[in-house]
Amino acid sequence: MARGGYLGEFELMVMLAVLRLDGDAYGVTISREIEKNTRREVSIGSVYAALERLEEKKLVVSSLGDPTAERGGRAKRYFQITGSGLTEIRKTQRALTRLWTGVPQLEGGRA
Amino acid sequence: MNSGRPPRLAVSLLKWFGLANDEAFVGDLIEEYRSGRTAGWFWRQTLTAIRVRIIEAVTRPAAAPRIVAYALTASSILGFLLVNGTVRIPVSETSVLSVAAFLLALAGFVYLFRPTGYWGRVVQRSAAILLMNCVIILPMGLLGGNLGSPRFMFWINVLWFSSDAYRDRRRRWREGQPGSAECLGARRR
Repeated sequence: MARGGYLGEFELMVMLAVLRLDGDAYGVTISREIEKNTRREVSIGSVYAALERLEEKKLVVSSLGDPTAERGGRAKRYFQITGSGLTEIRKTQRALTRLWTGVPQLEGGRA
Repeated sequence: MNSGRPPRLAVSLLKWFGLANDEAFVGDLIEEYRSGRTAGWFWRQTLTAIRVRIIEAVTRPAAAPRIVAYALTASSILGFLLVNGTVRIPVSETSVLSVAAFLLALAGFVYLFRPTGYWGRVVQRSAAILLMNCVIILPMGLLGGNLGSPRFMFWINVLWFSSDAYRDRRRRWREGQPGSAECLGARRR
């Protein structure tokens, strides 16, 4: 279970990136996906640290691919969201949506 | 496209901080580096990964019992040596303190960062052997007045090495990657 029952901001970003990549989620693609959508540089080490925590909580699972030459003979570790991971994302989404709605300052698309 | 090797010192740092045992992580860094990232980018990634690793290692709840266990072991040894005046150890109190402090620091370093690569493995094994022998020999020294029977210590060490080798083989087999612990070692290059 996530800390306090909900996912942290970065953990949520990583999980959403894994979901969006659908089967092609490994360190490089996950960090690129986050960078593309958030427009800020993401460290691969931070991504792995988050994924390690999520794997400990059984929210993601990983499997090793085949080693490739362009990676110096090292394998890729592919990540997938588990059933409880998906439940956790939905739970966080519902909580955030509830907080988001009914806030006058945030309505109309202006900060 | 960058076909060269990543900065060697950065790679060594990754090994020393135990980040090289994750083959996929290092592979990702190399893939990005070879796709056109600069050496500066590699260094930034390395230093950030080390910083994240240190924070994770210290704040992670699972690390706490291990740190406490080793701190307790080291302090018990130190406590026994200082309180029990009947110990016959031909070294000064300052030397004992230095050895205890060194062991505590070594244990902390090894179990927080788990260094990998050839020298990392040497440090890990040496720390484990030192600690095990201290934990067994010192109480025996306290009880018997000598530093343990050599034959007993020999068999304890044989047992330790066998079980360690067995665990290592089993782990490699389970991961399906022979030698995966030394994934960044020069031997694979």
